[in-house]
Amino acid sequence: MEHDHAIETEVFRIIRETLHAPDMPLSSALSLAQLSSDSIQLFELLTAFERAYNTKTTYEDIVAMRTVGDIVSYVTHLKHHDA
Amino acid sequence: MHEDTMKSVYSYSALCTSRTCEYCADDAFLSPAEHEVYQTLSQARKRDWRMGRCAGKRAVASLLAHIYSTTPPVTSFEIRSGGPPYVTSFDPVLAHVLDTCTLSLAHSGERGLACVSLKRITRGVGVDVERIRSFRVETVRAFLTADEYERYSQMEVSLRDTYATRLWCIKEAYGKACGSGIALHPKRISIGEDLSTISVDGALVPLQSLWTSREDGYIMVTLVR
Repeated sequence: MEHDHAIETEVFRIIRETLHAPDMPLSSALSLAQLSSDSIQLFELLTAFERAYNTKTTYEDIVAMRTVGDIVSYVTHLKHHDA
Repeated sequence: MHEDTMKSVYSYSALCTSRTCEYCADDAFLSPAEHEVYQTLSQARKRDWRMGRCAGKRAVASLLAHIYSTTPPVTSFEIRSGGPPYVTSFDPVLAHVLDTCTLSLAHSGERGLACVSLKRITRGVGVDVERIRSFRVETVRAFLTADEYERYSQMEVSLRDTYATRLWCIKEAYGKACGSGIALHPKRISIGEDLSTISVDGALVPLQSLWTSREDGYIMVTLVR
């Protein structure tokens, strides 16, 4: 599925807000391990996306995510599914 | 170094505090293969990685000294990760010995923590270290069970962050000890009121030891299944 630019921008905003890193350079290729090695921060990111998109993300979904681009794809899928 | 010998003689833990650790002040403790990996890391990742390796290698060296009455040079074995960490060596004899070990690593800020034991006498080891922090209420609700959240919300406000961080660390360490990491949702793991028992999906699980400590604003947990 192709990335929606608006969704990507929104995902980047949520990541920067949650990680308190307004100037963090982000790209779809960035791995989640590079994003943060802090497990609590990654968990907070999960809950932030759940709040933003009013969804319950399963742990199977999380485990499958490796990069920021995977998050964008996941959110894109959610939005298309809702539409 | 902390050697956790309270309940299991054969589990060894080690702690690296970057400010005071002389052991990893330079890169001489890394094996050639580890050194290659180290050079590829970003500057931001290097310190965390080095602290984890430092604690891990010291814990392994203690175990080898105690069980096998030998302490090979720390540059003769290496910790590999990219999944659950494990320890191996370019020396086939040592690699065979190290294959009997099970290892867990964690790092946060100024702390690296590791625990190692033997596969034949444990069902896994897990460690976690986290800086005590303020949590959003929704985050706490997302990882605490209903009972844990009730205890949390009835506490004095000043104690809540320490309590929540401690529960997170225990859950994380248990997930690592099971080899499932984050695949085991923290809400499925319930911690007893005295912080010494764990239930998963309502069933009590056997533990050999569960050690928790608070020090300089950090919570550290070492768990042996």
